[in-house]
Amino acid sequence: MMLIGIELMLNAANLNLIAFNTLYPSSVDGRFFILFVIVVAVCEAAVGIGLVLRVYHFYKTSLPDQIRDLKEKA
Amino acid sequence: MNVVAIITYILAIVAAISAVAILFVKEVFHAAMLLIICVLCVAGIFATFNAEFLAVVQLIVYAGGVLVLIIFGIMLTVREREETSNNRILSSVIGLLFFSVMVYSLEGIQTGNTSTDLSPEIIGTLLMTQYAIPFELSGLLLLISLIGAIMVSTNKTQP
Repeated sequence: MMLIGIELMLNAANLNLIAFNTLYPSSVDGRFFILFVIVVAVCEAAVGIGLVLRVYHFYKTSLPDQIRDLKEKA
Repeated sequence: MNVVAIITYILAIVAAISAVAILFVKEVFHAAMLLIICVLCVAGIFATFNAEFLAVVQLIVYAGGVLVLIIFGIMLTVREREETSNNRILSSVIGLLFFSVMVYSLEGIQTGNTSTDLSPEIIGTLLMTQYAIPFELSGLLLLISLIGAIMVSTNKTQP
């Protein structure tokens, strides 16, 4: 789960950076780019949550350090 | 220094403190709560930059959607404590490098009154004319991620 938190922290930092980028007047590109970044972040979060639930169902853990094997346990 | 600048600085400081506090919190659920605070402060910063539409989108999408998803995920999965990462020094060095680059590039920018406020009418018109291709691509991306999330999370053995 910490991976998702880190991803969203990255997205928030990205949004903050683009908000500083809109300090250039007479340009609305930055604001629309924020919109599309939000769209991409939402897609990533949805797929990420699905993956995490699937991994947890399979490995019975959600810590990335404890997920070691690719193959199903015999 | 007017009132808006003071509010912006306060929101930025609160956002930065909560973002840093995420790193030093043991429980994942507390990290999610701090992330909510950070997202709300970023929405407030958007509002002070005359971007009210973006602030509302940020509130609805992040604080309403993504954080609910994350809290669902945390409640459905986590049973044990997260162990702290042991390469904290390297990551903080990388973060400081990125921060110094950003400060260096932001040095020459004048912070004046920014661009005009965009009404939702203008935003809709621009989305359909000037930014039509990214708009349609984002719709396609949403569809793909919807299908992908369903494919990932459903059980394949069932027909």
